[in-house]
Amino acid sequence: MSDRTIYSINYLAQIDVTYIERVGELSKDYTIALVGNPNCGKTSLFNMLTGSKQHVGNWPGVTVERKEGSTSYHGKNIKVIDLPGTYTFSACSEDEIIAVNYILKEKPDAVINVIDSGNLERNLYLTLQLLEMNSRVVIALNMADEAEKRKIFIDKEKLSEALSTPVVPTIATKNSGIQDLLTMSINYEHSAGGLLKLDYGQVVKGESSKIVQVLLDKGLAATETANLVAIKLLEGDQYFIDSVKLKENPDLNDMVKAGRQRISDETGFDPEIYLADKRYEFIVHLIEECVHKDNTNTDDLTEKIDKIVTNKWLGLPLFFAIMFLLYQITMGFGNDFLGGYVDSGFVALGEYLSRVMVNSPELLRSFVIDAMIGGVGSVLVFVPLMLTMYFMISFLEDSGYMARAAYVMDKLMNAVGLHGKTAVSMIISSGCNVTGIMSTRTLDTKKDRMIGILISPFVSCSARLPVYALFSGVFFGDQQFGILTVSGIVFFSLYLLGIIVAVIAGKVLSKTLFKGEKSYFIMELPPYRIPTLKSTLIHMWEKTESFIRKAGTIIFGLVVIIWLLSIMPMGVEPGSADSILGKIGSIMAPLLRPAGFGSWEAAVALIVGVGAKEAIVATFGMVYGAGEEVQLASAIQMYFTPLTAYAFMVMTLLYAPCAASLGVIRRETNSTKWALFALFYSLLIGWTAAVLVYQAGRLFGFQ
Amino acid sequence: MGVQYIGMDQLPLNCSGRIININMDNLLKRKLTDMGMIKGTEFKVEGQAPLGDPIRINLRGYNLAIRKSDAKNILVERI
Repeated sequence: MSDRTIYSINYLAQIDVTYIERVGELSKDYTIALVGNPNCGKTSLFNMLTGSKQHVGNWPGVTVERKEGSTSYHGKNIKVIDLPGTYTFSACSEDEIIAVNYILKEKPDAVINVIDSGNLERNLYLTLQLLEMNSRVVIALNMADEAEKRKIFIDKEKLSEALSTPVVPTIATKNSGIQDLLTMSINYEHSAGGLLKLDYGQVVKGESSKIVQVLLDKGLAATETANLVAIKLLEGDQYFIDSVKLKENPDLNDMVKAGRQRISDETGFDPEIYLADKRYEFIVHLIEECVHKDNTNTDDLTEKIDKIVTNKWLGLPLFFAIMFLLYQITMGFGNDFLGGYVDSGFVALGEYLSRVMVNSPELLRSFVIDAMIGGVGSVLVFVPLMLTMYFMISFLEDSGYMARAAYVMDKLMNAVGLHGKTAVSMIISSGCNVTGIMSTRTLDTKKDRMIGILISPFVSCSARLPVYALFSGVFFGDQQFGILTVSGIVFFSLYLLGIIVAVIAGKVLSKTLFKGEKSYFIMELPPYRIPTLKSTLIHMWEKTESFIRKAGTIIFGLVVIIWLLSIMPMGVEPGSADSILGKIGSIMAPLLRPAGFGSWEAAVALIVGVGAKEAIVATFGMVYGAGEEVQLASAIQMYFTPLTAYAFMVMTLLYAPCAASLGVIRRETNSTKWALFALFYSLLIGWTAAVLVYQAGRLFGFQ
Repeated sequence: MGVQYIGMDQLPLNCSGRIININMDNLLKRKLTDMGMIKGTEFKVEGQAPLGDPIRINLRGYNLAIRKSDAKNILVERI
């Protein structure tokens, strides 16, 4: 085995690089793009390259995340773009279109193709497509240690030679090889115009050369890229069809059609399948040449863990146990313990400010304490919960468990018309609906994704907890039912109701609005990996930050609006029946009478709750003029009965997604119509459920 | 009577097979093709979810989960 070097990180010296010291000539916005399959360690590599210097946004017009960061090379700033992970560049999904568009239009100075050394065959498929499109590619042979452990030996020189592009072994999680990779990406002198040209056989060659001629004659493609465009047109690639405006060039269109027909006739395959087959054929040859496998042991560890995690008897209990633990830790440690500090911090800050501002004008004091501290506080109080939950979720995602969760749950979910991955997004929803809705991005088909988005708001999130805590504390607090506390049963029944309503809504939606639309479950189950603390922390912060940004602005804005409505018109007692808010409440109150809580105060609390559910309790405090918890409890006892309290909690659970959720629904579906639909159908469901509870309760003689 | 072709979902656990044909709509077929599932590709059924569906197959050195209702449209031969 002397000719197969096992990974030596000091690899740069061995390759014949036309090394040019570029530091002096590096432009200010030198850009490197990262591409690769999902689960190839691309994100870890990005994190290692950029550290904390990264920024997450969205690609314009779509909901795909755009991750950008920076690193430095000999004191120069290098921009790094993390393109979405894709299996292919066939431009079928949003992710693929973004990646293709970026590589072709933005022309990054270098492209790093991250590939999983243990999964070369499938990873190289993307590599070939990339090399056909771009000549400034450096391959990062990532997870080199994992491959070595699995006795997969890769001859890097041969691979590099065959693809005529540099190959650098890396272990992103151990920060090894990253500097070499950066040096290579910046300094490697690629041969000019050297796009990879694969031999697709005589038929394709004949057809593509005809098309190339027309493309060049009409000036539709440059000399270097004409062959690529021709191949992609024969492949039926929509991105290239659009970019040459094929429909407006009838003769070219006819030629492509005829070419596709000839390929089908001669090969017996659809052209896109034939070309994919040829690529894989090339890869299989390449692997025979460059890879030596000691087939005696494969990935034992993953195999062993899967034996337990997806076991017939253990799989489902284990899933529920993990989710229960996730929820318990989030609530116990994140919400009660850490959140408690933040909460008391804000209470103390409010008290301090009201003492300091005792001589300030009433209006200013009210604005600072009620609107600003109240508004910002109501968002920030959730941050510890988010951090805790996202730490665990990021860990589970990066370890490979979340893919198994979807796999284990799919059959159960599919029985009610839902997708396995929806189980995961519903769990995330129990922390916060906004993030649950965002997590539906991992669903492939429109049907599964839309249903996931529309049912997430029914799952009881942490913002509803203060309402449950207040009402069940007042009415069911010290009662026991056997060994269980009644308020515990009340909490549990509300969670269960939320899930049941979500499932029923999903079933109904899949049988009505999305009837006949396709759903499928085709998903890679990546090897288990131990996530690095750095990556887990970065992912935790990314998700929490996007919650703070999205929810924060909306909730804060709404709290200010509600505050304004409660003090207007000038001179009224803030939050009284005479304020605009009180008047709106009085108009809405009769609608709520069938549910047993038809007071203007309850109506106002619910209206405010559309803004943010956690504001409901504070609103009751305001409208009942009860600043202290004890006063509020006795006010609630006066205005509600156990039955109307339960009906009110059911209403709170179901009646409307909060403003932040509505905003996210609008953004994720790219449609105001769907956001309004979500609002009105849940209003209807919530109201109906509350009325049913109240009326049925009365029939059974409850008060 | 030569070799019997069956749906991928019919192949027993721990058996290997070779893909003969994929009868699916273009988008899905394209997705599977891009993930390396092409006529002639060999694979092994390695597991199933606790409730019997989806199944887990190994092809080209990685694991893929697929619902039986999708797998039945993939014609395979047992090897």
